[in-house]
Amino acid sequence: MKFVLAFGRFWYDFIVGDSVLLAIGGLVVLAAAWVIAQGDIAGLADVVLPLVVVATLWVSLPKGRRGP
Amino acid sequence: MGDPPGEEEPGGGGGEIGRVLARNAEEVAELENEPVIEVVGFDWTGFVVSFKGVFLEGLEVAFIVITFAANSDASVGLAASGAVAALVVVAVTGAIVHRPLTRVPENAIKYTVGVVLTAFGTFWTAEGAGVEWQLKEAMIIVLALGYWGASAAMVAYLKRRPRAVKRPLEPATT
Repeated sequence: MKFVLAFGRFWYDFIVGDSVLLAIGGLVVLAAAWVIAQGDIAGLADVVLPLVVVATLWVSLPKGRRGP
Repeated sequence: MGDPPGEEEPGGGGGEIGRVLARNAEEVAELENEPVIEVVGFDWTGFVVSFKGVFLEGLEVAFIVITFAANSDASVGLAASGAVAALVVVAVTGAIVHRPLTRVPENAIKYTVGVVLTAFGTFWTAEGAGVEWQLKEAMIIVLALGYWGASAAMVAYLKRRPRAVKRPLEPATT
């Protein structure tokens, strides 16, 4: 049980760390990439994915200002 | 783009960054006042820290080489040759420019690495999901430039809060 908890904690720290927002942003990018790939719409990823990344960074600014 | 969510108006009580900078300045001052520890003999701490960093990066390179080779017509041997060539180039470059590199501000290096890694990360995440970039690999450069521009704009946005940064500092409560 201790091993499972430690294992879970490791992955939580690895993926989430000190910012849930950035982790969610990463998941949104992944999901958006998958949806775009399924839809096979040329050029959509070139616009949407960078915008999601920049939006995630923008949303995380207040936490960055507050510090850890 | 409007203010980020949860953000105060410029100069209107944004003293958090001032306090963070103050804590940072205090810590830097404390470290500068600490006596220099003379390392006698082999520096094991430095060796272990360096080894862990190099080992981790080397492991990443191995994974990248295998992944590239597995996803292309090239053999693992050819991909490994490329990795070895990169190792030689990096080692020689490091040996030549390690002194000038120590003078580059740490934050500038971190910022540059962050922008580059984010560009590569976006590119390969999408590639992994099956996305076809219109500009192919050249999109990495476009992404890096775009992220650099956007983040520079955000840094400028944060900097135009003089009251928040220059407000008198509160004494430490510890």
